[in-house]
Amino acid sequence: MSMTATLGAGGWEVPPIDRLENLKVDLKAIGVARSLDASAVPVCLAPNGTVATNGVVTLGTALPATYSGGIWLRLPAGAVVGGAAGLYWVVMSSTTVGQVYTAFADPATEFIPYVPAGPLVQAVGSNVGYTQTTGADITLVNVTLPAGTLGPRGMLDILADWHFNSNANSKGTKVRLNTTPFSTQTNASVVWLREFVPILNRGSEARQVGGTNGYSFSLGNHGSALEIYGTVDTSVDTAINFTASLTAATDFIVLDWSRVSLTYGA
Amino acid sequence: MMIAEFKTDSPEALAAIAEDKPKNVWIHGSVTIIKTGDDYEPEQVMDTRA
Repeated sequence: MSMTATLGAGGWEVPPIDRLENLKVDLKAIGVARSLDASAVPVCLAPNGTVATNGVVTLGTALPATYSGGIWLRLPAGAVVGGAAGLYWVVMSSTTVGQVYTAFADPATEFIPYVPAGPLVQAVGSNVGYTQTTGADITLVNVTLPAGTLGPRGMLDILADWHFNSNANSKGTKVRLNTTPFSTQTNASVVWLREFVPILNRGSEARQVGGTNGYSFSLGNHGSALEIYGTVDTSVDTAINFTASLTAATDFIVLDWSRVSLTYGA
Repeated sequence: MMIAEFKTDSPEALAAIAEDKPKNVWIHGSVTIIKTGDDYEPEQVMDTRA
């Protein structure tokens, strides 16, 4: 539906609401980008540490910043008394010490990091050192791509900003569409990764190309590259997951922020 | 079917993780997904920065 703005005596006239509803459809058809996820609330696959009885966590390895505005820490089961493995809201007072709260998130369903509403309740820690899970991809953020919103020629623009402690250990990060990784990075001997992961439907809602393996932002020539080809059906609700994997439980991976935006393509 | 789902940290999940065979383990919140056999995907990465 076309829409014509008119200039009246009092300035540009606002169209009626029903015409604005039609305008949404038009914007989709012409490929206007919109954001699915834009969260700068950090999430961390935490290093080994201890949650004291009063809920104060002491991490064995210092994070890159004092997340005094709060951070979601992935803790293993039992770190908090009676607590499942998952994401706990923590307000840090230094790079190693913070207060754990009972605010908990299970990223098995959509989880876009947020600041929990108060009042917050302090967690009761086990007061025994916990050992972080290693050798597994662990979901930190889970964004839902609604069914059919990408279209057969649509594109996802995904940005992610990761931090690590630097040593020779692998600290794996992945960005997945459903179960297919479109970015796989090992992040040994680096402290920071800012990556751009494009994913494009190739004339079909169930066929993709894009991503990068081993190159966080690959523009220009390379001797070799792994283009990712996917067959994920985006005509149904599809998860976009950011996962992290440690080989040593004394290391950490912080997903400082992420963004997923989509452009519909008919 | 070589893709199995378990409740995270359940005895069944921990036993499957402990099995000595190639596997992909994905802890997706309260759900743990383990790929083995034909569904196992070796890591394919090139990291020129290490």
